[in-house]
Amino acid sequence: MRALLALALVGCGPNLQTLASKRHYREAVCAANDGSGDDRAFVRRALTKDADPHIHVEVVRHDQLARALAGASSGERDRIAGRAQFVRVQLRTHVVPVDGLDASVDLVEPGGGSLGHPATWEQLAEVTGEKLPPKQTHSSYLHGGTLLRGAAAFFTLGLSLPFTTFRRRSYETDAPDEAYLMSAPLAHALRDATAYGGGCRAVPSRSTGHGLACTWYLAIDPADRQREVALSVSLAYRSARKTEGHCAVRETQTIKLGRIDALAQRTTKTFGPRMRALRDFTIE
Amino acid sequence: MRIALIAWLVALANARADAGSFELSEPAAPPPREIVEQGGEPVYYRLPPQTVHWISRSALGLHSRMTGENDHAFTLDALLGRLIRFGRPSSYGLWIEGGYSYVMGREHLAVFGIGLAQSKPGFVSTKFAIIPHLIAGRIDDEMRTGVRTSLIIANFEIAHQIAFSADRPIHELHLVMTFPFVSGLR
Repeated sequence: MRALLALALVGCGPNLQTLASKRHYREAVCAANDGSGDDRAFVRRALTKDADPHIHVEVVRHDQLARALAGASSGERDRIAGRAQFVRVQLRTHVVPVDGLDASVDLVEPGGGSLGHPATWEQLAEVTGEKLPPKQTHSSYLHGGTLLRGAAAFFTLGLSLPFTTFRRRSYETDAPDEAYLMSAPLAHALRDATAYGGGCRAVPSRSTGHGLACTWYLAIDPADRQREVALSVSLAYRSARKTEGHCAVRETQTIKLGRIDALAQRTTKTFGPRMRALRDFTIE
Repeated sequence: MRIALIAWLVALANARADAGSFELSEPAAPPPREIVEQGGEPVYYRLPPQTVHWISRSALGLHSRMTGENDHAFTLDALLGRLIRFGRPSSYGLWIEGGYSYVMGREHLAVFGIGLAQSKPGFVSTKFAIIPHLIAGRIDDEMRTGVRTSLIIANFEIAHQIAFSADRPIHELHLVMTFPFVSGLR
């Protein structure tokens, strides 16, 4: 009786099966967001089936690393190869009717701890043992305080000016590219080779849906040769509410890649020259 | 020293021109497809899930006794309650409120009402409401009970109030400006 009363009071929306079968994923994502764990699992499955994410993992070989570090001595290359093994991960999805799609990857231990390091300046400098140029400090009158003081002067017809001091405010920026090249040439070469750390771009589409084409480079410490490693792939499908905020359904899948010392062979065997559907790894 | 540095930089720049990539091959991938929605896009779950809202309503205006004499007094109401909307897309719902009503010089009333309203969250966003209230309290220094039936349209409330007593009922008119607030996202 109480359930019936609640139903009568709050009304009911379209069911999830209908929404998913007609690809009304913006609605389905919010329904799952506000619904139960089963609802989220259902929408996640339907979205993953349609987005059909494909993945490819490739380990950068020593000769490929050497090509990227053409300016380095063989000793430097060996030192860098001993400190980091670079892994390229690529992901592609179809375009699905949602308001946003985010993806991220990580190399993890079977227990879940992170082993992969994104190819950031700091990480690359640590690998090459170089020192990054310091951030540059600038100062400017262009800040909120100046705006407020200006507004006060305007509204008081200038009467506030004798009591007002306009001050510069300092802020930091990254050093220019040339400074990185001078200070950390090997890290700079690696940064170029890793496509500036990689990232995602939208798949061109005629609709308002979203699809992703992503490339990431992760560095992993090759010293712990026996350690098992897995690739964790996370996707977040987003839908904007009609008021404020958004809803999301997240999918995380882990692909076992075996031991670090056999990573190159294992990824070549598993992926070869083709991307593979993420759904192929559900049972692994 | 300086020449050596320049030579090193030139060599590095030349090396860089050759470098810049691990030269990994691009794996074959299926061409991207576009999944499109079938039919008109429904809007239900993207509306705020909240259907139960806190409400407050204050009012001030004139309270007149319907005796044929010129018997008007200032009145003030302060009420709190809940709005339960009939589903996410609906702007209609049950309006439940209770509070205090004061009529200058003669009435101190407790008020409780349940009615139907058309309203959205926000300040002064109630378009329409009809709310029968039970009232109880002191009227002309006597404890009385009665009924006040309010009709609210935007910021105006007109209500008929009847208070029962041993001898004869008192009919009054409650004409006020009202300021409803409904909590939650618009």
